[in-house]
Amino acid sequence: MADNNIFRLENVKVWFPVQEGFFKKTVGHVKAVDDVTINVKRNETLGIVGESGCGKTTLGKAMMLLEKITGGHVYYNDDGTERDITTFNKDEVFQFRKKVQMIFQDPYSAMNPMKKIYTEMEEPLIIHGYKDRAEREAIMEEALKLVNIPVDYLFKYPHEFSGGQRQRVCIARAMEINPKVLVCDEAVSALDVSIQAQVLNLMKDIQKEKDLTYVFIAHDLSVVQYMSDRILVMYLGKAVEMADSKELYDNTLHPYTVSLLSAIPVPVIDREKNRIILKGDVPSPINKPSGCPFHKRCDKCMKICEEVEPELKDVDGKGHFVACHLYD
Amino acid sequence: MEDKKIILDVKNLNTSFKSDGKLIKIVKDVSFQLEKGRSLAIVGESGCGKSVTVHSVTRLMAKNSVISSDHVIYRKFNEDGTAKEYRIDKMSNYGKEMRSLRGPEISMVFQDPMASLNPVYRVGDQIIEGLLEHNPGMKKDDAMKMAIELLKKLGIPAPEQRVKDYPHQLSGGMKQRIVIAIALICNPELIIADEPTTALDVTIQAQIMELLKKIQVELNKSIILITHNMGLVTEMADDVIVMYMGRIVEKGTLKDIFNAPSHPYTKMLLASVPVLGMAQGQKLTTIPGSTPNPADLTEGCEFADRCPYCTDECRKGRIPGYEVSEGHMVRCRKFAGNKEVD
Repeated sequence: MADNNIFRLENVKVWFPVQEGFFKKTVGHVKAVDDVTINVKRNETLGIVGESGCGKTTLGKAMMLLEKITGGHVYYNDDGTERDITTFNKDEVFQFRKKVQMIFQDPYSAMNPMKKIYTEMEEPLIIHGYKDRAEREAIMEEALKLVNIPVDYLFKYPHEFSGGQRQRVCIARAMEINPKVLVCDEAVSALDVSIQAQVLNLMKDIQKEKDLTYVFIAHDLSVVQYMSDRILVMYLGKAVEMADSKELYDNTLHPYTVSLLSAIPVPVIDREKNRIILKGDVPSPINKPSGCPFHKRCDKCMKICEEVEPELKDVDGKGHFVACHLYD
Repeated sequence: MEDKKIILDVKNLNTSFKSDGKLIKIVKDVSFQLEKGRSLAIVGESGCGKSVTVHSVTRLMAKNSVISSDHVIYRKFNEDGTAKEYRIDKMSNYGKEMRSLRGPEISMVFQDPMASLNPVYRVGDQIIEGLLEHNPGMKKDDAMKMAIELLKKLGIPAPEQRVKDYPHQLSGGMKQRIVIAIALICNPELIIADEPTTALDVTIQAQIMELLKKIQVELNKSIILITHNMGLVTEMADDVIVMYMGRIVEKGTLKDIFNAPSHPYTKMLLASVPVLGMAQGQKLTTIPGSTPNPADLTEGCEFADRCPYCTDECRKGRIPGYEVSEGHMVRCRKFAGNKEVD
């Protein structure tokens, strides 16, 4: 079991200090990610969903060491030995980044408008020590072929591409150095539906071809469900439910996930809709409510929920994790 | 359909933009009618002209635009059943008449709540501005009371305090509710919502949509909803218009469009949306290529280059609209045997 995990997160915390006054005294913390323990299996797609501000992007960045981890451990294992990335030195981080790459949300701002795609795509190869120009070009061409973009487009500027093409160039750029893991942060949110379908299908094909592991972060549950093998639902920096994507849909346990699923408009008519509408907004991550973070909006709230914080537990023994007192 | 019940009647609306000395057609021959008390959804990808269509109707267009049409008629219904017609196409953009329509009769909810509120005024003052403008002599205190009443209906807790807040003190969902309050305060008959929930989370989106539907059904208002989210369309709309590159490619009731999509574009668009609960391993249909540059289009069907059924006929002239069933129009040569309706 343990060998099968490419990532294992143990009580990961990412807190941002809130500073006030002239001396920048720390008066509190934004607990963006608070005590998250999860694992990512090899060659799977783990989807992370939640409302804006729930910490899903911060968690993705923490897994790439782009965000300083306040507490806990992140173990990475691609060759049989498990190593804690929070203890890596500069050189080890450099080697680690080769294996874990990221695709960002907005393909319009992820590329330098002043540079040709050639320069843009050559840069990671130069950094990672491909000294021979012909070799670099061969790799770039192969990467572009992977995403169905003609090779002569290398000499174009980003503004000459459409949104979908740009996102595919970003994927190609991330794929060049043969990473093992791709962290996709809202990779298709900025795209139109017809283009979104193209990119999603392409990403699935690449995963099969290259044995990749995806961490797929998005707020659109239908997209995440389409892409993922397992889904992690986050709320206010906490992992509230994690299960196989089919299991999560068929047998939803946490009240938050239930209402999140019911809030999604489904493009099928004449379907009976049993909608649970949440009241109010997400509380501030600085002053979190005591006990279960969701208890103020939960319709099944009990007395214990206000006092004791539930732990993420495997409720059926088959890997359906939920953090809710209803299933104690 | 009785002519009298139609609140908005648009016939052959064309909008072009001047760019580099050329006129680029963005909206082409758009005609539709909206009945009182019904909701109409305009769907399509970005750049298809759905926003430009409604902005042309309300005449909130930039200076480099050229709008022409056979007619754009807004009907105001009185309680005794008579109606007064307004020819919006004959009014000047910022003239007295147009200004008297915007607010009490037609109002808009814009896409981005962060950008449509003024950051340096309290939200209460922004809500009552329209009310004071259209009701000369009204006292500010009375207007504020009405605003608080409305905010209470919109589900905002402690509205007495919230009206004194500035926009940055409110969350995204709250701000969008303030924007909706601004649109509703003058009790308009026609509400145009331009992607009202695109910037919001699904749980907040559900709250806002529930609210708009309630307003439509209970107060018998008419709504035009612009969106690219097919799921929202099924929940909100009675009638649907599908647009592609400035042209209406399909028009019908919600049932017509979702149970019997006829235009290849509509079919592919519906199939390319991931649906919750889809079987594992199922693949999404994709539309090959990407949307063309509107300046490059000359004649024939705009979708021809991406369409698997394209024939030589499709690239010639203007494609007429054919009737699939009563009230269901499709602009595609595949239906050339049917009756021409547009």
